[in-house]
Amino acid sequence: MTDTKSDSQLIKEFISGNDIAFNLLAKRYQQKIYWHARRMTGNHLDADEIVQQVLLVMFNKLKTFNFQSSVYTWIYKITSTRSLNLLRRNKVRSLFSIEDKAGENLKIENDIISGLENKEKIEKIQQFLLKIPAKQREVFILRNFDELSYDEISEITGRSVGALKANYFHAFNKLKELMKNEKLL
Amino acid sequence: MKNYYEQIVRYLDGQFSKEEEEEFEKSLLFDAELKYAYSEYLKTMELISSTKLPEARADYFNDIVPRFRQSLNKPVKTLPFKKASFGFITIILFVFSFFIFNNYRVSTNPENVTMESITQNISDEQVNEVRDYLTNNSWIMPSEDIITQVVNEDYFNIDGIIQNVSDEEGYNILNDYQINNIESFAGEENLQQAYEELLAKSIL
Repeated sequence: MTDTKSDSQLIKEFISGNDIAFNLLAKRYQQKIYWHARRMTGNHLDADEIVQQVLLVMFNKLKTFNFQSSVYTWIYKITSTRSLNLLRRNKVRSLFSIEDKAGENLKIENDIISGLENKEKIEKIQQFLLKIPAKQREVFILRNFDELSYDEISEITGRSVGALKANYFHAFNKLKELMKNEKLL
Repeated sequence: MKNYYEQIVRYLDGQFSKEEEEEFEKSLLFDAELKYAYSEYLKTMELISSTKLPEARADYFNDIVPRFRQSLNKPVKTLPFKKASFGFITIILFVFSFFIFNNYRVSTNPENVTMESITQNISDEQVNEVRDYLTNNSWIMPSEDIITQVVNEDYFNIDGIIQNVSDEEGYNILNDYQINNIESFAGEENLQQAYEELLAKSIL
């Protein structure tokens, strides 16, 4: 089956019982889901967990999808929520556990980014992103990396466009300062 | 520094009208601060954008949906029956042992003495002594009826017997001799009740 069908068509086919339609839809969005989760959480293993969670939610909820929002904003909403939930869970865990060196090493070893120079640059930006508060980071990623409009981000996050712009510029200023301190600018 | 970034973003996003665009470009030439902010913004975004589409292992992405499908087919984990049974039995044994130990501890506590241990060494003479004392010192005759009444639930009142005896004397006497006295006239059931009442009042 070729991947030329629209999202709505694939959903309708899946609802009718065509499982392959779901696979096509998942493949269409898997990279976007992964990289958004990766930038939010900072590591491959957490991002992989979120991808599987998002696919499960899609699989269970697509049959009741009402087409009131676009499919991709719906998918981004799930991804964003799961990412924030995982960050909160990790924060609580870190309060009650000692530093898990083995876990941290596992996260570093299991990486899919190829090319050493590429990897170093991405990790640097990733470290900067992790220093920004999660909600500001979310807006910055959705705007810059996922290339969504403020209206679409407002639909995903439930926040007003004004608040999102404020979040965005705070994130930008913070990133800029971090880059200056590292003498990258 | 004035925040020029919102203007810069709107300009770069093409959200300005023609006139606004021309004015902004003019400002870029003459406003040093705006020029600096614009340059900073471009450098920052260039660095960030260079990481937008990272090169990654294709095999990972090819494997995502098959792994998801495999996870759907995995059976739901349930608690193994044997382990659950063993755990349940262990808990029951623990609770049972606790109660047995607790009862043993209570029964061997010297404070938890029985009626027999109190009354076994009290002689008839001592009982009569109590009768005499109470008779001489109280307007209440410690008759059989009164003592029987005492051990009945509705009438149990030690103070009623020893109204004219000081509390300390009265309680001391009763503490030493009353059990045997009461025992003579009261039935076994009432006796047990009386004993429990005396314990509750710390007389025994």
